[in-house]
Amino acid sequence: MTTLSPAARRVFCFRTRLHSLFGVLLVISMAALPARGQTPAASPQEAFPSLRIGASGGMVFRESGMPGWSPGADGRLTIDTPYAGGRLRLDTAYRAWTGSSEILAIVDRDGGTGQVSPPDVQTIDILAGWGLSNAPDAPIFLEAGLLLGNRFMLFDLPHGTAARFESEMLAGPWIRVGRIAGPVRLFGEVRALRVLTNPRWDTIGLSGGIAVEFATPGWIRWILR
Amino acid sequence: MDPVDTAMRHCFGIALMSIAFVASQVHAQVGENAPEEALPSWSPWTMTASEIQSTGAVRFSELIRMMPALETWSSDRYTHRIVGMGLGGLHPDPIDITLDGLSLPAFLLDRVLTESLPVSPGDLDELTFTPGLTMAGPARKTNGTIALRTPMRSGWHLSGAFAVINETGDPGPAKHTDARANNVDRSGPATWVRTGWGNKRWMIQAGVNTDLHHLTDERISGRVRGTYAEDVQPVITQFAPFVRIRHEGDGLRFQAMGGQSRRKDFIYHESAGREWPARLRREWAASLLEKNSSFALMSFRADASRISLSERPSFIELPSPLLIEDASVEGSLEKRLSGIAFRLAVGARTWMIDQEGKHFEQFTPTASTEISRTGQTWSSKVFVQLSRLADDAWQPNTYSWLANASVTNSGVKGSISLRLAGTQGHFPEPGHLMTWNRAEVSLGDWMPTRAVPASSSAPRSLEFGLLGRRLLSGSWHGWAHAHIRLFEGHTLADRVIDQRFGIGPLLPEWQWSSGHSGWLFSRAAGIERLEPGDITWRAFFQFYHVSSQGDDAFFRHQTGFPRHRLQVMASDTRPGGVRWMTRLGYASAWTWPEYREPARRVIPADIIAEITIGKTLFSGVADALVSVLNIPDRPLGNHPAGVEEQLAIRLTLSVAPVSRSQDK
Repeated sequence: MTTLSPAARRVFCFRTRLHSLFGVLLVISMAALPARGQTPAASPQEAFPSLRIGASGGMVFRESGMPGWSPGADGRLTIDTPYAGGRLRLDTAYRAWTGSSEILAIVDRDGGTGQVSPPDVQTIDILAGWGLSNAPDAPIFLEAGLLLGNRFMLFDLPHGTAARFESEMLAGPWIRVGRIAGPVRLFGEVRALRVLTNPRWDTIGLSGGIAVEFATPGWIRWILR
Repeated sequence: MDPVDTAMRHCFGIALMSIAFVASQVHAQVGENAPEEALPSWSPWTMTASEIQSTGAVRFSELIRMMPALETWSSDRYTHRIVGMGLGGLHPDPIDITLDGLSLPAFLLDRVLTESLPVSPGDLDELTFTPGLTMAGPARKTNGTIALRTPMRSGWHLSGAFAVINETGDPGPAKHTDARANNVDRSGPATWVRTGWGNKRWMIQAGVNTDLHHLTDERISGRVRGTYAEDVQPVITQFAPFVRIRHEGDGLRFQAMGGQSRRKDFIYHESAGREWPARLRREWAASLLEKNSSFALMSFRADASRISLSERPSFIELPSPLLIEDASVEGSLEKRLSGIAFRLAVGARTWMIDQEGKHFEQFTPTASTEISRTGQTWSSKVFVQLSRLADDAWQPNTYSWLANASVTNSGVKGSISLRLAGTQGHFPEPGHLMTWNRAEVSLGDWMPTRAVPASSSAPRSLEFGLLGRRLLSGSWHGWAHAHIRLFEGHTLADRVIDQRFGIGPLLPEWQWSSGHSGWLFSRAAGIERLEPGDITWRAFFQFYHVSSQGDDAFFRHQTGFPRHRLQVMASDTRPGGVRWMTRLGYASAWTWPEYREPARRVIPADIIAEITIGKTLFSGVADALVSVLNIPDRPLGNHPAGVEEQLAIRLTLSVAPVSRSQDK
């Protein structure tokens, strides 16, 4: 029979809870599906009629898989537009992670352990996805969807170091709720992301921000079409 | 009498009767006022342009891997061995790949060098595989044909694509806290660029394919580290430029192309049990001229290629630089009399292997004839090629022949096709390991040379195939295919690998062994829905049977009981430029009997699930596709010494900023 150390058990329990949270977020996302998009299914002539640009700041309130780093606050930029009955979304986020001053690590290929100070890392997430939104004329809006993309990592290591740069896939659901005031929206968002590393690297983040909606310029519509 | 011999005699009897049947059909049609147009072609092993573009594939080999009902395997997920319907076992003769009717041979050490060919998925209008023994020009026996069709361009065109596959499961930041953590495979970027001009009759084109594949999987990198002496990550690179000119006129058809490919490679061969770090350079050219005069259809085709292999830094003694030159020419006359087309061709193939001034040459003249008839409902064809090996190394079998015959009945509600083929004698390939061993090519410490025993009798093969298709309902069709091939007197590599599996070379005990017999039987059934403008569905189930009649070497070589497969594919291109493709499948568990205990591993049953979704951008100028491969994230492996795939994501971006292409 395998016994887990207390630390491993804590990680295991946390990961289990995290998986449950992912499940809950997915269920909520799915629950939003019957809601219709802000515009009817767009014909080719009416495709991408408006564009919404949002800026937000946030923080990670749950994280697992990377015990050697502490997440800092993040900044996000979001662009989304009506598409295929929902909203097509492009998203980028920047965050700095601080490496622990000392952590017990495996320092050789035979499994020997020792104390190390993992390097700080800056991450940029580039994500694309699609989601659904409730009716456009309601004062409160609710949106939910899925994002898929890549996390680019730059470690605080000297130039030329082999492991200075990494990039990994990530995916996850998000829910955004907010208030509409003309073309401006104030919103809060919960986002659960899983980076597909081994071990898996999961984060659940909260953010708040502001978005502005305007008619899509012709040249952007041409690009999207 | 030996039961295999009895079976062979029976099959030859069936073959003769069938040929007589085909001939009688041809005779019966002489008096028929059959229209000249060809019957609509159909094959279950086809991909249309819409399906091809929906895959998101940028590599040609990646597209072949995804073809319906066609099997491939790979030890590194880059170089795919094309098994087809499995009739040649897992170490079959080469597959003939034709581009708009022009054969492009590129065979080396059990594999077709698909990435050196002047083709990428973005070029193609259609891709069709045809199983069965056939000849790709003079003295080139092949295990089937993959026919590629590209459009004739109109105006200037410029296009290109880029794809990268990132396999999940890298440690990411954990690499800094666990020294045992390794990165897993990343593949690409794979790119292609094409430019040219055309006016529907003439087309000129230049292009280049480039590729990069990282061998980071521990199974391969562990072996490679034992031989490859450079302190950089083992990476396969490929750079393959080409030029092409094509003319499709009323009475004249002309095509010529040529190119070069340079590849830094790690060639795995099971008889070596490890990778050969090699520089591979291939120069090639091929041409076809067809002139339709009032007297006859005259055609002339020629091809030439040169492969040079040289070493890279290594801890072991690698093979000395090796040069393989191969060329063939063939001229033919085709005359139509009373609705029957008679074609007579003469040609020759010559090839040479050179290592450190030591030559091994072969010259093979050939003569072929083909009689065919295409009617309103019936079409039939008989083909025979006879060749003579000029070198006495292949005694006592200096004469070789291959014959095939087919008859097809097509109607509105379905079609049925019967095919027979037989061969006798040697068809030596300069890219085949057995030929290298006959030529006494030194492969250094990578692989000891083994003597090839003299054959007491000519190797023979006989096959019989039946393919039927029937309209079920609406636009749904069902099809069934049965194909059996018998082997007698073949010389095979008798390999046994009984090391414990792990990191390091799998040094086999092996020898060439002659006089092996047995048979393989492939059966498949499927349904499909091909409705333009709607979702394309293809589903099939295939299962194999191998009978070695107690011949263990045959059983091991073929190999054992290949996996049964069930697969469903669906794809669609929606208005607004959204396209998608999904592939779901199951392949049964498997063992590779060349690997004995404790090296043998059961390759578990695979659940295959892939999805690609994409969207045109810039009003159709660009196309972006995301593919999620191996969605169940189960370790997929199709070779005991090969990589294990994990959940991976492929990003593909293709652009055509200048394109006014039209189908001819």
